[in-house]
Amino acid sequence: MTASGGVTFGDVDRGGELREALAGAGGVTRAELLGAAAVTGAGLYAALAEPAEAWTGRDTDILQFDLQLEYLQANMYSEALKIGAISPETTRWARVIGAHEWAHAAVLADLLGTHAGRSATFNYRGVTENESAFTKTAVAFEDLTGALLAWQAARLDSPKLRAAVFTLLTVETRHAAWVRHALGLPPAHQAFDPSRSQAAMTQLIDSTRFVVEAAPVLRARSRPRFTG
Amino acid sequence: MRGGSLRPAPVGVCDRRWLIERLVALGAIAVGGIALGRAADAWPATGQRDAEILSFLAVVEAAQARLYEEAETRGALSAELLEFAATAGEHERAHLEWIRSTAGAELKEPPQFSFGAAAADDRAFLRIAVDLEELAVGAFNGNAPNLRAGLIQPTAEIASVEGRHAGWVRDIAARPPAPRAADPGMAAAAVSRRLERYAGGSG
Repeated sequence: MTASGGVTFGDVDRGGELREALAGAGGVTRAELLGAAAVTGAGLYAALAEPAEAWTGRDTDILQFDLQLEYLQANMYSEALKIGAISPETTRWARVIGAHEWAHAAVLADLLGTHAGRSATFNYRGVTENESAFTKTAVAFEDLTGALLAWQAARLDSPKLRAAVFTLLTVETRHAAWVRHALGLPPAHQAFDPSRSQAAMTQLIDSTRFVVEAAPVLRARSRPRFTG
Repeated sequence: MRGGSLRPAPVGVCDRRWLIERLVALGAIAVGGIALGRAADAWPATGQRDAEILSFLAVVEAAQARLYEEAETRGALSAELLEFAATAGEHERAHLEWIRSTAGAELKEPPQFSFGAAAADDRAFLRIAVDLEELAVGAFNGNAPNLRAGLIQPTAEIASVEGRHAGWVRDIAARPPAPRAADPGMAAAAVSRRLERYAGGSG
């Protein structure tokens, strides 16, 4: 951080994930990534005046899961932008949302430190090459990520992590509403968004077969992330 | 609704004295208390804390619900905005009902808001709706995490919908639906100050 407490690029990209994203993102500008990362980082770092080693095993598991989910989404947006088969209207929101997901991934990776691990390997099976398939998948993931974060918020042991998850939850549902509105779908169709468990999310992700190589398991008692 | 600037339009009144006294009290309790570790100390002891937080969130929900109710009643907005008002209004009333049933007799009833002509003017309505939805997101993110464990999931499910409302109405207003990668929480005092601009008269 700077002397004034501001978050620098180096603070949010200690593991180099964001630099890799910048090199490969295609279509997401450096400014968008830096801006997104700075805001995410500042919010989350302010929330967490405690080291990752102080977290419980359950909290670490939750953040590891979220990190892999962010990688899954961020890579999907980047690949779609690079291939360029999506419409200009879709590109407009995909660039912003993609930058946000990369920022989330970068900060989560940094917060987890040695517990972050590498990203899983993904194959989107043509979804990123087709406007309709891509937009439908984006809606599904944005809806479900919000549902997952609501479930996780209630199960985190750390009050600070709980607060930090709320700051990400509403951004994911902004994304969902934005994309739905762009597609002519109801942006908010119920008064309470039902939460979804990690187990349910894992089943959904497994059903997509997007994960071709799972992320390594870092702790013996952890379940594999996204068995693919 | 695309393009153009939004001019402030006169808004109606709520019970200003009640609002200011209530919100100042909440603000004094929660000053600086963005829910990032410090806010738990800023709110009262546990038994009272849930009731105070829920009472605070009820004020935000009541303001939103009233704006949308008045917009529907007046029926003067564009079709798109009336659709938003109808949908979001239904949700905010449901949120308020949940808060009432959860807090029970400990809930301090929110004041009555009134938005007058702004509820019948597209630009004024959009400006206020965007502001209130952003306040709701900030209010929940800044304070709901301090509730007891059993209330986290339902309030997260409400915050999730407030995030949708914010993204939706901002898109209607041709503003970035998700301007930041993270939505910071707001202290009750900061929310209170922003709500005061919608108070008018002597109540």
